[in-house]
Amino acid sequence: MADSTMKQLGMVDLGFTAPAVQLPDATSAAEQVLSDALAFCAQKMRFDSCETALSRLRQGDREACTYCFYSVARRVAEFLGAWDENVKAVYICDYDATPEDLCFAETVQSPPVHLLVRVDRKTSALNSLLAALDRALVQKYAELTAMNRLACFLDAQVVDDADVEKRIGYGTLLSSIHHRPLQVWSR
Amino acid sequence: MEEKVEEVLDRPHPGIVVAESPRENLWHTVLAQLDDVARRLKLDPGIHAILRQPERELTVAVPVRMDDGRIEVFTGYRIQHSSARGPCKGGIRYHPEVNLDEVRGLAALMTWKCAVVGIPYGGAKGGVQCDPRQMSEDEICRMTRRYTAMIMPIIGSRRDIPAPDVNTNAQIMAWISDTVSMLERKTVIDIVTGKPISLGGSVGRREATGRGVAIVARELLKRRRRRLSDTTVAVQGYGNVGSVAATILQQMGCKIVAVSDISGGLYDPRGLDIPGINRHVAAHPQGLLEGYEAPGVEKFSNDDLLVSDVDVLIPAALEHQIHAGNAPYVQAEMIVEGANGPTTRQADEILQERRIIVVPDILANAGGVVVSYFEWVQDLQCFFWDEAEVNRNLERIMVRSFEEVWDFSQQQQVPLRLGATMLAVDRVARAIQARGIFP
Repeated sequence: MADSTMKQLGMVDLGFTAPAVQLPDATSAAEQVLSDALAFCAQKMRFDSCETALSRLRQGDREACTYCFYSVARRVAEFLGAWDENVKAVYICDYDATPEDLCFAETVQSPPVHLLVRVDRKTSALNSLLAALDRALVQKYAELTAMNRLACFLDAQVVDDADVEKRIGYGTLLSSIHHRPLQVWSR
Repeated sequence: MEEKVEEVLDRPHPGIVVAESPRENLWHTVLAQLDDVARRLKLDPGIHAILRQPERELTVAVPVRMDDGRIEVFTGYRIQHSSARGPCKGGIRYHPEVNLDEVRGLAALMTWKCAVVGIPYGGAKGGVQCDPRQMSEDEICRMTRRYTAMIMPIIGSRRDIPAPDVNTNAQIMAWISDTVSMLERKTVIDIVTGKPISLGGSVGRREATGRGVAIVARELLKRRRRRLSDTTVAVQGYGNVGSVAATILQQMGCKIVAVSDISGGLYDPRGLDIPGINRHVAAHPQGLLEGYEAPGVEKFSNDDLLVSDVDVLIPAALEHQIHAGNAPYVQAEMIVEGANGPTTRQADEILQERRIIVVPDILANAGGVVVSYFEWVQDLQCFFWDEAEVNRNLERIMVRSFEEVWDFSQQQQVPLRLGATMLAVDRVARAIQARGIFP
């Protein structure tokens, strides 16, 4: 609802809005995202087929996982950006590992894929979409890899300008010097 | 509590080494700190002016043949802030947002970090503007080799020794060493640290930062006349730094009552079974605490951990975990910063007012750079130590460094964070003075 209309009606903007449109088909989006991820991994690692990429993903190959999950982040970001004009930029961030861990320890690259979604304003519609995407990705990833269903595949944290400017919660990470998130999409 | 960012942006706060606001420029922050420390030390204006500028800055355009045949040109930097105390030392990071001022700021911070622990290095930093996750391993290798060739005129085992940083690792360091070796037609392993053990890397490097944190915490407790066996500790972050610090502090006799990672926290007022937790983390597919259960162990959040009732708090995860919102509720008497920049500027002021002792990151997590120095020493000698030797020397340097920072801070009547930065700047200034100005 436009701000002027809300004012005329004496309504207060609570900072979120109800979904105004039907959510897109998360299941087919998840399928496409994972298929693209295997293709990206196969291309970067010069595999002859996506089957090889899948096999390496199943084995937990660090490099294969890194490429796959990066591609997932990009595709999900593009999807979010196309669907929700509030989304300004999306970042991938390994905030479960310090640079020290990544340099010197045997860290495991595995889901969840951590995303920071920067928005103009937080909406419940975007939250619903992210939850639907996560459920679909959990399901499709389990089918694809024949592994146990994960509790979570996509860990997306939504931050707005105030979070970033005032360094609140995950907004802090966007200006981090030592844990630099990688931007995977911007409007 | 609301963060009053605007109020503090215009005044320097020595020792806080992270940009407080996204709008803040790291290099400007570092300069503001330097100016304040220079005033306090009554630094010679000429030496102050020298330290306000990096000694040498090199920007390179790095052409790389990509897998699809096209050529892409990446921008790379290597900045040497000061070589007054010895060859420059600092990491190389690969990130799309690497920029000159960030690299300048990080290079200066390396100067202070090496000086505070008294290792004979100056400070440097490097970086290449790229997104390594979009590049194949071959592309990263070719970019690394070309970047190395282009910065070779200013790096060297007696000039400037790079190391890993954000998005770089032991493999990339090995490529740097190999590139220099090929171009110089001799084996050159002492030009870079953080290499694989098979190529002149040092044993004990992986554990070095956490071990250093534990040593510093123990020395702090000694100065506070506290018995280790009566001390309770909480560790936030259970990665390479936090898990090693927790393990060693428990071996020293401390009671680790709380640990946490991104999956949540564990609390047991009687003391956690750290070896058992380590076994659980090693077996967990993602290396997390998640799913650990033992009698008497309660689950709680990261936020709870930071304000838990303990003697020593060790933040060993991300930046800015202790902020104005939770600093008033921190119950620990002592904080040892295992992570880089875990305390915001406002939080630091609150902790100071509350007389909570903070051992700053520049000292507390310097174990990593100290063992990098050992790697270089071993490479130069072509004689490699065993882990016990590495740990013995790390212990010696960390104990000495803590004592020097503690004594200097007491003498100057300043908090440890400010004292550490003042001591570092003073040491660099004395080196410049002793060398004189060439010619």
